[in-house]
Amino acid sequence: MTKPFPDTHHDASSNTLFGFWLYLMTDCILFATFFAVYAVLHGRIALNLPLALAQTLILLTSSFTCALAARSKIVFWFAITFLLGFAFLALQWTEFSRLIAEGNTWQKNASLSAFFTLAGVHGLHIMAGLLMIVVFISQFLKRGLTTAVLRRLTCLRMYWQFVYLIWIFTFAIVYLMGAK
Amino acid sequence: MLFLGFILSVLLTLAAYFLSSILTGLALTISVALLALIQAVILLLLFFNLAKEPHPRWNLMVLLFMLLVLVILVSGSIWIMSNLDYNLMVS
Repeated sequence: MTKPFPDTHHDASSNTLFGFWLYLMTDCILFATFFAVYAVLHGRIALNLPLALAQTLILLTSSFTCALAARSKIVFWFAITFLLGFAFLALQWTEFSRLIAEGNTWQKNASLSAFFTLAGVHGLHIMAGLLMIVVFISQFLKRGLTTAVLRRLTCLRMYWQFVYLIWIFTFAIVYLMGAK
Repeated sequence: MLFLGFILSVLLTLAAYFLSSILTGLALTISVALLALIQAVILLLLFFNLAKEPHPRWNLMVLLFMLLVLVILVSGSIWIMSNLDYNLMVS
């Protein structure tokens, strides 16, 4: 189980892992369209940069603890990952509520629509990831580390780190370049 | 290796954040985009272990194809829409 991912093209799980990788790459194209829309329609949005930095560091740490979970203390590290992911969502919630309270809703202009779509869909991915962590931990506690559970562990780890990969670009393009 | 990737990612994130407070315009866009790309490559190498994949490197090939589609999609959208914007300018 300490085997690094995804060099598992020789065992029975390899097709699943490759298929999951294909899904992640198509998901990248979904986000690419949102980034293209944002790039075309972007305007000045009053974003909270220090908060976004905190979100980035939280999600980065969760990506690291998720990688640690694939090595040892699965339940402990995934619990930490879950809490960090939840903290990220809570911070995003406060940012969204602040924007909406100030009258900057997605109905106001195309730029805000593009922003809320991009950040919102990313938030939905985090939510799905949190759900996957809960399901995974319950399966792990029930069945132990079988081949199927190990395969799901690798998929979950890939997914969570992919979500951080998308956030790097959201942070760079939307927050650092756009909040001037 | 994981820990190295984590430390490098933190440093790159902080560097990008710092640069965004002192740079503006094209310099900001290029430097921040570059730092984000470096961080993405570090993650792919150290967290996803893409370089350690045995031959034939299907995951890498799919990634490269995705990047091709991504570049066409994003640069094409920006190109067409800025061209439209230019041609429809009221002046």
